[in-house]
Amino acid sequence: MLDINQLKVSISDKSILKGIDLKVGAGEVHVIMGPNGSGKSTLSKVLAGHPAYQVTGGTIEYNGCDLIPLAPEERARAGLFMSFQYPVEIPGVTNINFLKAAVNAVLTGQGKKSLDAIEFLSFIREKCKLLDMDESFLYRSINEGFSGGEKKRNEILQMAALEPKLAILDETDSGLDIDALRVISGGVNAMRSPSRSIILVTHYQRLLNYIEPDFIHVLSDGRIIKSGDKSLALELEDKGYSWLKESEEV
Amino acid sequence: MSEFVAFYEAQAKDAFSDIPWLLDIQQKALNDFLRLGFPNKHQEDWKYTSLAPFLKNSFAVDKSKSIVKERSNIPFAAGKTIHFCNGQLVEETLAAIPLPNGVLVNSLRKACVQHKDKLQPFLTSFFPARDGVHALNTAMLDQGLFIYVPADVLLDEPIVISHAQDKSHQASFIRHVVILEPGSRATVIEDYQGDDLVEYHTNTMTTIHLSASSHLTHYKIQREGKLSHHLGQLSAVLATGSQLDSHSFSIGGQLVRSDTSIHFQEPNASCLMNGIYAPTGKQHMDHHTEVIHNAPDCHSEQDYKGVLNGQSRAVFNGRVIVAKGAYHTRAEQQNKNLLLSTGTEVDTKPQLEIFADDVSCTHGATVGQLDEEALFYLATRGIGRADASRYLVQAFVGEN
Repeated sequence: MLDINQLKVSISDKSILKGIDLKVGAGEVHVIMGPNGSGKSTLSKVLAGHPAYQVTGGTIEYNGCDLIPLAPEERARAGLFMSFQYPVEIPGVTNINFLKAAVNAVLTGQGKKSLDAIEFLSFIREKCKLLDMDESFLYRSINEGFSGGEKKRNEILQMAALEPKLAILDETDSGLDIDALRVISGGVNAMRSPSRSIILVTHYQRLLNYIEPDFIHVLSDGRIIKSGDKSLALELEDKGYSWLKESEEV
Repeated sequence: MSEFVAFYEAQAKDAFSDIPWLLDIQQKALNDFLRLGFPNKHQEDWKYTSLAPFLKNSFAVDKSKSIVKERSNIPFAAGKTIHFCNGQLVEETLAAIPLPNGVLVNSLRKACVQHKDKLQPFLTSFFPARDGVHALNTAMLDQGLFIYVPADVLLDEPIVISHAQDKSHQASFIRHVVILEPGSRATVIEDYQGDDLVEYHTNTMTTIHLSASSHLTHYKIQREGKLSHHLGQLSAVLATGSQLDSHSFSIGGQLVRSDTSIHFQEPNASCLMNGIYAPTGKQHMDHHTEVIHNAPDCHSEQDYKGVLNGQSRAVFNGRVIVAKGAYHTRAEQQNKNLLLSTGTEVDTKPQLEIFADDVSCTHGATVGQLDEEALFYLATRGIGRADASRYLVQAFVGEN
């Protein structure tokens, strides 16, 4: 699904990622953890195609294709999705118009038939139910005046609507209370399938009480310094990141 | 420039009426024009707008009858539109308009004879010539409409006036006069369009006179040909409890100047002014508004928005004057601009002059660009830059 090889990334000449290697197979759930400033969000944004980041070395292969030259919208149409840590507020554009445009852009991009207004409405209502979202959400401006939890829920609604092949969830759990975390994890778990891969970027082990990963990677100073199975998270929670950094130095 | 002043002086003399009182008005206006000349950049109100492109050629009135093939009509008004073609009223289209009893929609020429008592006071008294462009419009007084709605008549159907031009180096001077008697209500739509390949000139002025508790909704659609020079004015006087809603939409012309002037003469009147200008290419659009609160308890609200593309330039200058004694005035003014390309420029200047106590006035101006983070967000959802920009521009135009 995704094969990242010695990826190096800079933003305004400051090197952030210093050689990342990561392989994600179909149906796998990978977690990326790491201290603040380690490059977690940069990795998410680079995968989504943010124009401010320059890839200075390495390769990203997505389903056998070179991802780097693709524009963000081309990546989305190819089935890649990123949930934003800080979703953008767009006043004046209603959620439902946005979702319909996005779903149809992705469908037509994949050579499928777009949905008309009636088909789309019943489609999106189903997705709202899945995330326990009130339909009134659909008629508000994108993220405008949404609480932190509502914004994150809206991100997962978009993921559910776009049905991506690879979803990168950037700190989807941050700022959520327990109830919201449960709903959002439920939404993510419902999306798990043998053909869909998920990368979770998170600070906290607690998300992993709800979503069980296949692999955990620890990112520090632009490199993956440790990979393991889910037991690694518990060890980190116990000992902190400094344990790994120290062992690296030794 | 003097050769052009002489040229338009000759044009004005050609337009002189044989009705003595009207001739008197025209002669005085011509003297004003000769004294004032065309505005130049040394005048504060014309600091950012040069008439030089307009003053490269002379534009002459053509009195021959012609029919212009219009780009498009206003859909709901098909068959119910009054047409001016190359500056001349198409009489048949006026005759075809059904009107309730007592409502008058006449050619200005005919009204000067038949409704002198109603019209004459409104051709001079309220609006002294502010500059040479205005004075020349009055000196050229000939073509235009006289719209009169008697007391308590509520007009359901809008009065739609279409102005179209397709002759090179041709000038159209238009003056419309709209009078609403107490308690009446009407909607007037002015549409200006023309051939994109032809350089022509429009000098148009509409004066609005609202009696007590009357209500006018006025739309101006400026979609002139891309080479045209459009100089337009809208002036209104509001009596007690009257209301004016003005909506202006401007996309055409190479050189566009629009002056709107609102005079609150009696209490409890209100005025809403919405404007959108969207120049592209090398278009230059200048919108000046002036709201004069001469009476207490009136409310004015202005919301002008600009969306600039290409290497276009826009000017917004909004002046609100609250005169002594105009207490409890509420005046709001907002001008927001969105620059879509790096070659654009906007000069925006809100002005408040307050001489009364106990008033509430706000103003604000912003100039910004499309939010790159919003564009990226939409892109990550499969929506490409062109579509995403369209959404954001629509949202900008639609928000309050």
